[in-house]
Amino acid sequence: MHSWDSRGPILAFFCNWAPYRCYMELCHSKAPLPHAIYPVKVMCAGRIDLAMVLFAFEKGAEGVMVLGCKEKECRYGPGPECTERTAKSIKALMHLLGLELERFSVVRVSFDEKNTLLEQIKAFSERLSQLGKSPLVLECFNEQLDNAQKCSSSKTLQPFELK
Amino acid sequence: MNKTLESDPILSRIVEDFQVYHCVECGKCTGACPLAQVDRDFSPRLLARHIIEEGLQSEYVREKAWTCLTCGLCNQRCPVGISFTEFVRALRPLYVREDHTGYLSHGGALQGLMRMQSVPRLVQNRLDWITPDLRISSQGETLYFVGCLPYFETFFSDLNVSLVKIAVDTVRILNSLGIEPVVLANERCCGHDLIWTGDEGSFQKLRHLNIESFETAGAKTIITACAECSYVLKHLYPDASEPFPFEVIHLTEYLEKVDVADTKRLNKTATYQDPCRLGRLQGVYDEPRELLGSILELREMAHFGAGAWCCGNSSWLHCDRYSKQMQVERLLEAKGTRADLIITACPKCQVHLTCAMRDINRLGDLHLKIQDISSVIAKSIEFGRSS
Repeated sequence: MHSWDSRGPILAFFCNWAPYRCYMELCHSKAPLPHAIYPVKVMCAGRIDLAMVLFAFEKGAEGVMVLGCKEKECRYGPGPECTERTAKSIKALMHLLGLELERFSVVRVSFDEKNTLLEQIKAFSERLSQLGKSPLVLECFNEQLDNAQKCSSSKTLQPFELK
Repeated sequence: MNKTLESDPILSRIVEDFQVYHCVECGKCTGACPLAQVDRDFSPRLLARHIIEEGLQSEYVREKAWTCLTCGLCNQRCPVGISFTEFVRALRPLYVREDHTGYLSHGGALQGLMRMQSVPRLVQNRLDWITPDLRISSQGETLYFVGCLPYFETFFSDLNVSLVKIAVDTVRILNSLGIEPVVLANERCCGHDLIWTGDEGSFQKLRHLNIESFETAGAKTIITACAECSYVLKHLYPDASEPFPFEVIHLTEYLEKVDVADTKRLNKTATYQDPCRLGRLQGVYDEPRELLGSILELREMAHFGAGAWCCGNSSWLHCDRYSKQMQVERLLEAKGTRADLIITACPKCQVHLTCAMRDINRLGDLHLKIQDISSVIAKSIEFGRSS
C-alpha cells in the first residue's frame, strides 16, 4: 500500500467488457499504471449510480473515474446514455459541494485502445496531483486517526482499504 | 424493571424518559398509523411491548424501529402521551452503534451528501439560484435558511420538481415586504435526516457550523420555508451546551404575523397536505390555511390537520411498496377533493408525491399539479402587483 502522503486513492469503475479487458492487458504487460488506482469491476458503466460515486468521495477518494464502452459498442444498449445522465447529476452535485469537477471523469475506450486507457489514467492522476487534497480526504483521514487512537495502538493505520 | 432492560442502562433510561412503561396497550396508535394501514405487521404498540420485553435484541424492534415513518400520528392518539416519534429517534443511534441501520433509499447517497456538508473546510457553491432581481444581504438581523433545496433539485432532476423555486419565491415574498434577508453562501444542511437516521456525531458538527455562521451574519430571526428545517432549528438546535439566541420561525407563521398586503385572489381551488414536521410536530395547522384561504379556495382532504396522512417516507428511509401505496392513497384523497393543485410546505412531500404520480400502472390518473405554499403566495403577490 502506498503511503498516505503521496497521491491519494483514485477509485476507478471499469465496465466488464472493453475497459476491463484493456486494463487486464495493461496489467499483464506490466504497464506503468499509477499506484493510486483502485479498480472496481462492474458489469456495465451504466450501473454506476450517484450513491457509489458520492460514497467514494465521502470515504476519502481523491478522484473517481468511470471507464465505459463507446457509444454504439455497449453490450446492453443504454449503458453510455445512463452513464452520461448520472455523470451530469454527479457533476452538478460536486459543483454544489464545492469539489473540483476535475476529480470526476468518464472515459470511453474500445477493445483495442489499451494505450489510450493508460494515457487517460495517467493524465487523470496527474491532474489530481496538481489539484491538491480534497477537503473531504483530510476529514476522512482525521476520522480514521481518531478511530485508530481509540482502537489498540498496535494496530497499524491503513489509510484506505478496499475489502 | 425486567432483566433485559436492567442489563442495558442506556436503553432503560430511554424507555423511562419517554414513559414507554405507561403504554396501556389500547392500540389506538396502530389504528391511526398510516403505515399500519398498508403493512399489517407494523404496530407502535407492539414496538413498545417488544422493547420492554426483549430489549434491542428483539427482531421486531430491529426492523420496525427503522420502518417507522416518525410522522407523529400515534403521538396524537396516545391516551398516555408517549411520543413515539422522539422515542424512535432515541432508539436509532443505539442500533447505529451496533452497525445496524434500516434500508437507506437511494443507496444512502442523500445522507452521504449531508455528512459531506459537515466538513468544515468545504466551500460550497449553493447560491447559483440567486438572480439579479432578488435582493439579499450578507449581514443583517433576518436570515433565510434555505436548506438542502439545491441539492434535492439536482438529485431529483429526473422528477422535474422545481425545488429551488421555493427559495426564489421565498426571497421574492420577503423582498416584497421590504426585507432583504441574509442568505448564507456556505450554509450547511440542518441535519434532520442525519439525526433521524441515528448519526448524532455528524448532526452535532452541522449544528455547530450553522450556529457559528448565524452568529457571524449577526442574525436574530431565522426564517425557513422548509417544515423539517424549522422543526430542527427550533426544537433540536437549542441545547444546554451552547447558547442559541435566535428566533426560528416558519415562513407561514411569519407571513401570518406580518400581514401580506398586496395579494390578489387566484382563480383556483387547492388542497393542503400537512407536512408532519410542521403540523403534528410543531402544531402549525391554521397559519397556512388562513394564508391560503385568503388567496384561493381551499378544500380539505378526508384526512387533514392533526390527522393528515403522511407522504409515505421520512429521512430518506425505506422507500418500498408500502410507501408507494400510502402515496397513491394520499393522491387519490387529493383527487377526490377535485382541487386543481396540492399545496404543501415541505420539499420532501413534493418529491415523494411527484414520484408516486409517475406510477405507470395507474396510467396517469394520479397526476395533479403540486406546488409549495411559498410559490402560491409569491404568485398571488405578483398577480396583485401587475393588476
